Amino acid sequence: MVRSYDDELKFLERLTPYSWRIKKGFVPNMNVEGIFYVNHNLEDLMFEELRNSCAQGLVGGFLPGMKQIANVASLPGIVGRSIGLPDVHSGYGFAIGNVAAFDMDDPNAIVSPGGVGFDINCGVRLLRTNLTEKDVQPFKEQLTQSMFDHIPVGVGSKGVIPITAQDLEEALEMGVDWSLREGYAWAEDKEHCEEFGRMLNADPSKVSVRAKKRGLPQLGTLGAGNHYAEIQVVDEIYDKWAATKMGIEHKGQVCIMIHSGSRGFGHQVASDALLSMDKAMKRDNIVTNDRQLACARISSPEGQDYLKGMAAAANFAWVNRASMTFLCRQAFAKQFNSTPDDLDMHVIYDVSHNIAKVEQHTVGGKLKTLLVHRKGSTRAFPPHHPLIPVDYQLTGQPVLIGGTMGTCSYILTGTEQGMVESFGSTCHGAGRALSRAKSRRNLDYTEVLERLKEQGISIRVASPKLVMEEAPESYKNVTDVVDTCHAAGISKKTVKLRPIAVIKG
Amino acid sequence: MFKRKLQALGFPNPDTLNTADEKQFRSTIVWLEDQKIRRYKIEERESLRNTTAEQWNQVFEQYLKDLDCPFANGSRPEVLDWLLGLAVQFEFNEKPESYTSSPKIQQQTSQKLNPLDNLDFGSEDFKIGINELANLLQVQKHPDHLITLEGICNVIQEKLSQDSLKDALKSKKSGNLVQLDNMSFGWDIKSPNVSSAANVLRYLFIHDLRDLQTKINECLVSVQALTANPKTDTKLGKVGF
Repeated sequence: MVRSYDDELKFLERLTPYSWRIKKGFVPNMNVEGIFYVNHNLEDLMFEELRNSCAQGLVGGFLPGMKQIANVASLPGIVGRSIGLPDVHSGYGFAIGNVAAFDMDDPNAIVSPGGVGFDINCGVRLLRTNLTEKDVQPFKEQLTQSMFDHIPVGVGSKGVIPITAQDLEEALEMGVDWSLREGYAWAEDKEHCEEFGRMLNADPSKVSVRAKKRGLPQLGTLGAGNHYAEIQVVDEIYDKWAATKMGIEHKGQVCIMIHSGSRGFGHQVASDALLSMDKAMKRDNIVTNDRQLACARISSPEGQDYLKGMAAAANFAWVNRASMTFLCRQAFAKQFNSTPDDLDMHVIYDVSHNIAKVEQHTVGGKLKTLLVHRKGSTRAFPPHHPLIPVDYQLTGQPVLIGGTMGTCSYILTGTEQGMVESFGSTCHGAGRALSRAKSRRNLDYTEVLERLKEQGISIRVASPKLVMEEAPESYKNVTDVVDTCHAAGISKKTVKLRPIAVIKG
Repeated sequence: MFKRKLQALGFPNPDTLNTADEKQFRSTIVWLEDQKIRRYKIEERESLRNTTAEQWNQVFEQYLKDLDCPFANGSRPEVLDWLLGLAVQFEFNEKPESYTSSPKIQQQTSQKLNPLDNLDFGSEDFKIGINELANLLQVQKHPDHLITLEGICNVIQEKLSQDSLKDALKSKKSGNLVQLDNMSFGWDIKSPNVSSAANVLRYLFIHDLRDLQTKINECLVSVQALTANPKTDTKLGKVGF
């Protein structure tokens, strides 16, 4: 079905200055409506994407984000709305920046690996220190090099933490508890992780040997793509009281942000599941608008196996981030001739932005148990929610938004309104604006590196020729994204951070 | 093997008794009947007392029958154990109160250690004392003075104990004053008084939760002391390009 751009617009309606409604009929078989959050700048990007795809017709290219949001709205068992966040962009099946919740009590409801993403439990962790920018500035280059030496980065990198196949099995089952037991993590780290750093339904026996083989040497490595570890300084505090609760006291305070996921392990778990679900869809007569939306009924063996494997991958990612935290602490302790304890290197929080979780939400006035898919979206629970750590009971859950290389990052907090409107979810980062290929064509890597240098940002990168893919020009403006979420009320701006050193793949 | 029961009965030499010795066995039976069991009248015990007589065994069998012993044909130790048990039972039934009251004796000794246990918690004096203490510490009074006392204890533990005084000195500088009424506690209660009370309760709940989490962390750390052995091997590391 090809409609003109003007015809498509008839299905779109502005709800508030920061949100648009996607009406039923925009794509076939929609069970619920869609909604997406944008401000003026982001709106232009979204509509341009739609216009381009209409001009192209059915041939080639990515589906525009809006169409993907609507396709998800047509999946069986979806409740509420299919939600697009301000950083939404095309992804595999589901758009990245899409939230969709499926009713666990509906026998037809599905789980879809595309709704989680290939990098299962990709997430962001923020450590604080009691250092100031002044303390770090003279040693910035050494510190960056030291971080680069401690944390292996890049495609095909291998970790420095010795681990056997048996260790991996245990780590997959235990998540951060494994890191705790082995002494790589602090007891307080666990307290400040989503799910306390461990998904209890993980079952390593549901994970292929291939995935384990890929994962084994990669534990404690950063990876490539948009993953990074940054030394950041507090640039702006919007909510002093909430920031204090997180141990952020003043501008110029130094923090460390780690953005990474489950590496090749998660990727393999997702690929394996997509294959098995293809068959399950034929058997159970599940029809979707897009082949990439492969899925299986939650209660089916394929659905259950995926959820157990996904949980194991999530645990892998937590162990991975915990291991890198350990290495960061070592690097800082060596540089400053101190201990991580004395440097107050506590984990402020650890979020997952590619995950599906069973949660309780109120839909249409009724309490329901849902499987909430968050792909490129961060959980943002409000104050007093029982699942957030005691330290954040009054402020709401911290939400960590990693910016792009060389731009700023944010800490937000969850709100009651977000709980009502978006299943307690908000954005996850900047969101891509240019495809990787397009970035490589349009930008020159030496220029990108030069610009970072001018901004006073130290950088160590394994493959400099790929940095243009991650250049700020390739992304939406993270400040636009965060401001939209703040203005729409689905999360609240608390702290802004800016990088002074980056290491990446 | 019968030492404890013999001791309980006040048998003259429980340590040296050898029941395998026929003579000693018979005299023990006689002692039990004379002192404890007293199944027969004194004049009827003559034949049992005659332990050297040849027909003593028949007399003993008759004696067991008269006692309704279930082990009349059992081995000597079995029979003796049963008889001792019976004797202990008689001994107890004679003055059970002297045994049940024995914990009281223990309590009395501990009372000496803790003078508070001697207090009568229901007396008017005590109630007046608690009221005065409550006034002094500005603790809200509850109709049940014991609950008021609990509240007073909490205040003293939290605010006036040596540890808490030390902590208070330390944290005085870094502590932040919290304006409870300016914070969102996730509800909208019309009455300002009820709202303040609810806020305080919620705050106290969070405080308790923090305490619990701290204890959990302490447990984890103590287990870590046994299990943790983090290692790194830089030779394994590899940067990917």
